[in-house]
Amino acid sequence: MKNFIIFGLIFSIILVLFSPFASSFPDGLEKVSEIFKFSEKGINIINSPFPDYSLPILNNSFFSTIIARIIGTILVFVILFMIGKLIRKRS
Amino acid sequence: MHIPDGFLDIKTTISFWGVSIGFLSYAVKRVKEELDDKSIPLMGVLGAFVFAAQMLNFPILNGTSGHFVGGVLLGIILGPFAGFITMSSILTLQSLIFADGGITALGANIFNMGVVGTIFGYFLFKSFLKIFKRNYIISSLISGFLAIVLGALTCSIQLAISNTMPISLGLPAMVGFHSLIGIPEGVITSLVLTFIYKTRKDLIYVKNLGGAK
Repeated sequence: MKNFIIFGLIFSIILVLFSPFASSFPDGLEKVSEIFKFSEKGINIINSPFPDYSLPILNNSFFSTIIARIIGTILVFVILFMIGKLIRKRS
Repeated sequence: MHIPDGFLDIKTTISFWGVSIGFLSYAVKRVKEELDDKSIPLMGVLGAFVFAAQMLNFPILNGTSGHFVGGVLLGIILGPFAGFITMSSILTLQSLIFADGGITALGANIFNMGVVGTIFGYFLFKSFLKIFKRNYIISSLISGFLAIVLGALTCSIQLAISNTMPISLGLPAMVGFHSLIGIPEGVITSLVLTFIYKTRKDLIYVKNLGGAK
């Protein structure tokens, strides 16, 4: 089990290393919002620490992107682990 | 498919928050009864994988991209309710930390990718397993595809009832683009499921998968 988890996490981080090369075209919903002229309605209500999956304090977009995304991936693992434990505890 | 803030009106925002919170409280109740200790790190690692994979946009037609969503995969491996909680947690973190998907639109996003994409997608997979004599490869392929198309459909309805987009033209456009995004979704779902089946099939929530050897 431990090996599977470690393998999964390493695999996920390797995927993140490829993410700066991902397509920067608008996604399906963004494209539809451009076609039907409602893209300007989209706003950000809260100030995210890593908007668009990058660290604003680092100027190098390649590294800031990768670092923010690796932090995010590990954070997802840790938070889900905590949520799982919390649900178990309450039973 | 992550809806930003500003696209949905108040009635739609509140309605889908209500529905999603209802599903979440039921899911927590169900998971409390059935989650075992080994599923907790599994939720974490699959969540991390889905989060990472969602950042890998691939180009489709007309200068448009799409990305893997992973709802059906989470549903099959973790079960519909633990899968739903995992998907909802990912969407919440994306919204709070990465500005991907609005915080007011989170209820609708959890509905489209969690309720439709994960829970309903799981039941689609179970139905296709019956039709295709336990063949998980073809069943996951089709249910992965359909989960994306149906999520795009409910997303279109939310945008239409918010008077953001005309349903007559917007719905075919949304469903059209997401039919193209759904094909790699189905293929990736099937590939990852096959890998886990060949290596650690004891970890998969859905039992007695068979079919293509």
